[in-house]
Amino acid sequence: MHIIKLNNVSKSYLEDKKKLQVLKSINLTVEEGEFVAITGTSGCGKSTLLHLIGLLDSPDSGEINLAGESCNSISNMEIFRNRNIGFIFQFHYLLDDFTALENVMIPLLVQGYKKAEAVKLASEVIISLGIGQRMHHFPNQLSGGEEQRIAIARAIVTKPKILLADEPSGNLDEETTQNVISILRDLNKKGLTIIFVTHDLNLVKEDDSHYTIKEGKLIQA
Amino acid sequence: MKGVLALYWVTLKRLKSSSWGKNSLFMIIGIIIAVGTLTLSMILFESYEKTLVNAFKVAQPDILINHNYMLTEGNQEELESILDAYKSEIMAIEQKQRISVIINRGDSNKPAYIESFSEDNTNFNQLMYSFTKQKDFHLSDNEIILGEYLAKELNVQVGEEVNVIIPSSIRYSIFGLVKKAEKFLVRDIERTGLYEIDVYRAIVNKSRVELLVGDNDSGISTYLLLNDRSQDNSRLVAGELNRIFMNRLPQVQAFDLISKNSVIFSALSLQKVMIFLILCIIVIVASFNVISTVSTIIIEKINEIGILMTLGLKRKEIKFIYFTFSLILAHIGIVIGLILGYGSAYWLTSQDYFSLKGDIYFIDKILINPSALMFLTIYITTIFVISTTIFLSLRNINKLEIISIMRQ
Repeated sequence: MHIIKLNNVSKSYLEDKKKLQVLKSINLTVEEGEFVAITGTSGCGKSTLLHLIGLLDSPDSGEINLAGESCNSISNMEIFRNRNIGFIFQFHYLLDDFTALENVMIPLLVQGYKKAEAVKLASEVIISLGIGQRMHHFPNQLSGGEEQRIAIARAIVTKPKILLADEPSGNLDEETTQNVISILRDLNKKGLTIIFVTHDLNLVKEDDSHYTIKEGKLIQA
Repeated sequence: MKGVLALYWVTLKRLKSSSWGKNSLFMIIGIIIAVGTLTLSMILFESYEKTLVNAFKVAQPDILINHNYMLTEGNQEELESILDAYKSEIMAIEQKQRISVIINRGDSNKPAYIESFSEDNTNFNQLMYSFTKQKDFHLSDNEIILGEYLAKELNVQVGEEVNVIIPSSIRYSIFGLVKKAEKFLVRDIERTGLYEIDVYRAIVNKSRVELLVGDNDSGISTYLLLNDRSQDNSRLVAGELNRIFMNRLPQVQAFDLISKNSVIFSALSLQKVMIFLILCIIVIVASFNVISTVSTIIIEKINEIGILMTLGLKRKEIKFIYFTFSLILAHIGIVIGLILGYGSAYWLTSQDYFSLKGDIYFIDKILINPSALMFLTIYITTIFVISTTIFLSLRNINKLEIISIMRQ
């Protein structure tokens, strides 16, 4: 079943009053449970594509279908995003004033979960990622790898259908990178659809659906 | 969204270490100073006004019926019959004579006036007793009660003697001026709270006053104390009496003493409003600090705002959370400011290092008596000004683009 379908999606930006065509007629179909790796040079449009899929931005033209729904017909974009899409960024963007556990609870609270229930679910996910002992620490008390794992926990705690990872290892050392990638692959094995953007080709495996962006076009690698 | 707001609520417990606490410290201090100053000034001013009105009311009769000289027997009966119709309204009536004198002790001579005192009139005397130290007294013919400032200026204590000179009794003779000085023993010292009375009034037994003035019946007035001592009631009764006097006793006029001083009170009320408006500028200045703090918080928390948007919160929900949170922090400043303002006003009025100059301000001591309405007015005004500035500052969130935030 198609969980993501992009039809002729284009996106441009204005830079110094000049139109910069970042993505040109992108077509992409992603099946449920697929692990899609998108690579390319810096500034080629990888993150832009991810933002379009994540409904953080809208295309100039073309159509995006997510989980069987056309994005044009989604009435409440925020709720749809909260329920269906999880995000991981290069910088973890954890909220400094909250503990790791509270950071993971936020998406659940946005969905309307009661606090006790949110604590239970968030704790379970944090423990499953092997950092249960750190859940009451603040972001500035965690290592880079721990912060990224908390960010993964926050992204998956609502059990989204799609996980979008934008250079999640870009800021980590090699060992921690392998650790984070293995967590993502484990999640994928459990059926989570992952779109993984990276410039590091070593992180892409042969059985991944591998695409690269060149001159605004998405090419199967 | 309620859940997220509740989660933000827990950060209040660790405000000291949170970025909200660090960023908003100066905002809270600014609000404390502004609200504290406003509260202190308003409490002092309102209490001054109340103390002054109260001093005027307590130290003086409610209505003074001015006839200057002893009325003829017929007019006296006429006055009594008019006042008889107001028997239910009137608590006490007394005709008092007031004479200008000079009180001397050693080298000190002070102008003063003597007011006659009759022991028969219990209700009036209760009022007089309340001003004295002994709270009860029997004045014999050679005893006198002096106002607190009069006694101070003469440097006289209870039990000591003073000489009373009646200017009208001074005669020229071939040997020069002959002054008739009467000796009095200071029985007590009174403090009404009204400087004008405490610096000039001396109280002497009625029979002794009659002896002092002889045939001179000038300075006689009828004093009324009403059962309902409210300002409105004394104005009403005085108005009604004046209408009756106009037809039946044209030479007599009734004054309610609060209305007599109404110019002062209306000037004070106007001044209070003006001071409030002027001091609101301090709150407005503090609100500039709020704008700067909230804008800094938005800039510092730009990634937080971005991530909250990706996690499914709408801009208006984030604005609501930030608004509520900023208002809670501002509220801490407002409450501390109100308490601090009240505390400072209390301290200022209870210390003895410096006091009001009675000859300028009529009273030398303010009794703190702020009204709930005044606190409410300060609270609502401050909340309104600060809420508006927070709201305006948070409009910057509308300009934030989620993509721009996440690309940073």
